[in-house]
Amino acid sequence: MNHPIPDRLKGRYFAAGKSGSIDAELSEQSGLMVVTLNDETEIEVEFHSLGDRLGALPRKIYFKDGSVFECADNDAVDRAFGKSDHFFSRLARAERSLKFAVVAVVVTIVSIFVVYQYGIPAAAYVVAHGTPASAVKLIDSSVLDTVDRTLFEPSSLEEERKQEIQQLFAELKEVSGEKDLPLQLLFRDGGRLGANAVALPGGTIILTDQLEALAQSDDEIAGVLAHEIGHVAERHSLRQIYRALGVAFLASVVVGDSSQLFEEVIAQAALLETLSYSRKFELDADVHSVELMVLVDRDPVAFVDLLDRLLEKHGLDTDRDTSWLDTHPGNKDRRENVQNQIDQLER
Amino acid sequence: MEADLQETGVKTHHFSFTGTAGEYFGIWIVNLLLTIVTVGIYSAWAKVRRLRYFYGNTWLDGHNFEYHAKPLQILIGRIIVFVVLIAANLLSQVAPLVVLGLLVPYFLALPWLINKALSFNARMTSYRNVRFGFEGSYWGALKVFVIVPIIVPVVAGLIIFATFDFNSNNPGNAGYIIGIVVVMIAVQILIVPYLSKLSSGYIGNSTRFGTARFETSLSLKMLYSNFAVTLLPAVGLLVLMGVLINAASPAGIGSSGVGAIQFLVFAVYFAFILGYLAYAAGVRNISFDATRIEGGHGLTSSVPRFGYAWVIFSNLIVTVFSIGLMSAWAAVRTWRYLSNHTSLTTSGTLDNFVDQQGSSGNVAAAEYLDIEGIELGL
Repeated sequence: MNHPIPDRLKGRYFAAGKSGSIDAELSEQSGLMVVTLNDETEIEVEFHSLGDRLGALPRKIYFKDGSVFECADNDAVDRAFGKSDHFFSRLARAERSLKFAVVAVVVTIVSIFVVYQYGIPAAAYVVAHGTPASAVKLIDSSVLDTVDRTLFEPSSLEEERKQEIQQLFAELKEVSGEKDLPLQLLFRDGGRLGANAVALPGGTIILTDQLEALAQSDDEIAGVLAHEIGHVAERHSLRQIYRALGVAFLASVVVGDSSQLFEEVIAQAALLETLSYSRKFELDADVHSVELMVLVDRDPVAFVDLLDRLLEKHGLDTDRDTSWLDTHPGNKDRRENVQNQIDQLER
Repeated sequence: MEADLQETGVKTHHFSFTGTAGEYFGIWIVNLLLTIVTVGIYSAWAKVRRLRYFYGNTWLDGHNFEYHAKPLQILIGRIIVFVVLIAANLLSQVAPLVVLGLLVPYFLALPWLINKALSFNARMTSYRNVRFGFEGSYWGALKVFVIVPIIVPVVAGLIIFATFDFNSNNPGNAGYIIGIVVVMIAVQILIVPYLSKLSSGYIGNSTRFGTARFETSLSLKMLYSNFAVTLLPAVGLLVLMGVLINAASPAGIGSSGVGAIQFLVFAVYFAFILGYLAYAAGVRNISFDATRIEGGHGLTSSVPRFGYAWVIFSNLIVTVFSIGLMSAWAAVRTWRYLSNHTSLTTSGTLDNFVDQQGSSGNVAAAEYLDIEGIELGL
């Protein structure tokens, strides 16, 4: 703890635990640190620690007995304590440098963009595929339990019809190549949800009676089932969960120190952005559906007709463009996407 | 006049802030860059540097404030909170009902968490080499932060539920349920000034500077008149919107009607934000003015309510349009605005405060409140 102090540092001295300060000087006399008060009183002090440099703030030198010496001349303190090369002194210089600030702005913006655009989705993909099947199945059983209580009613579909659809499902399952997660099809009355099909993360797919009634051919139903199998095989739900966590973490890192209002705005923006990602997943699942339907030799466009009928039933325009508030893309875009995939497979 | 003031020793010291947007921008951008590069680990160092900068540039009577937390402490606190939040998040995905069951233990632990957090934050703050302190009681915090804000509206809802005859009102009727919810929300809003009195009083009376105790006694009347000119107009606008939407027959709402409703919703949201900001500034003024520090000193705050709302709101606009780059400027602007409208009236010298050991609080509790965005304290 021997700190050579070449110059006498001028500043203020606080006795331990007291709010009163006295003008004083800090110097080194034969290897000991000495505070000389303005009334020439000398106090021998034992060095404890030196506050890190920050902006133009006065520096504090803490002594073992709890007393403090404060000095406004940061450069003199750095020289005296030989701290010019210390990490925080370098940091303080970087913080004052305009050139560094400009570089930091560019690097920061680029890295936020890269992490957000590529880093998080890639990490979500890896983690989603690495999540043990047993853990995912746990999610399925609890979600199923919840929706059965709140949303769905038991299916009133005839046993024979159920068997036929299970047969369709088995064909698709056969060609899907999904090995890790157990694909299974369940029938429910959709209740308030109406005509719909849902894929849970662990491979449970639910088809509502209302959607079955709306379908005009088995190809239409098979297309929907293949679409849902696509969601499972691509681990869309899991990727969505992990990605949302990642975006929330990135947002908290970037705007965590900003005002509450700004954080609120960013949170809302992140939510909207999640919707655009979910639209992308829908298109991916459509592509997956086309591939499976071609493999089982069924009409891959049929299910888009079913989707059109669904929209018409709700009195919506089937030619409508996709809006940024939608969870699913517009049917026009989906039909186009499906057709593209078919053309590509034919080539 | 001058002589009179000196004789009684009463003097007014204004707070001032010496930080500048340019200087803080450098610190802020370095903090942000290193935080991203270290996957969030540097955020603990960043927080300490940020608070040291703001506290350190806040001056009163020739001395500045200081923030003393060690980055490693903060990092450990953040890791603990992070792990617990991830676990809670996963649990809510796997077993939502279990999480619901954990709400009661959570609310029972909340007073303890708040006390520990406030103790930590106070303990890490000093002025003239003397630390602040916070000594709260579990039951006091339970009343202020859990019982009154959560239980009172629920009880009000239950009373309505019991008063009106269940059968004649057709149980399960959606209108009936909505009625109860509306009453609960109305009660929640109407008790806001009372909650401000409780929480400011609790925090003020539990705070000390060295051995000197703070004493805060707030006037409920002043808090309600502050409420009347800030938040109440926004509530009125909300009610008006409800009436308007109700009056328009559902068949009459075309696409232009939907647009009008969207505009109305936005206007009401906006009014609530401005009203709330103005309300918060008013509460700060009332609380500071009502706070005495042992030794005959008193705080004063004279923040213009709508001026403050404008500062915060315009900061948001500028921050959004500068893709966040102006947030350093905005932070400095807000802090300076508040400092410039705060003062301390002293009788006698400020040299005689003495430090005192006390509850050192808990860093994880402090980080939890920080991460959840719960801002408490004077």
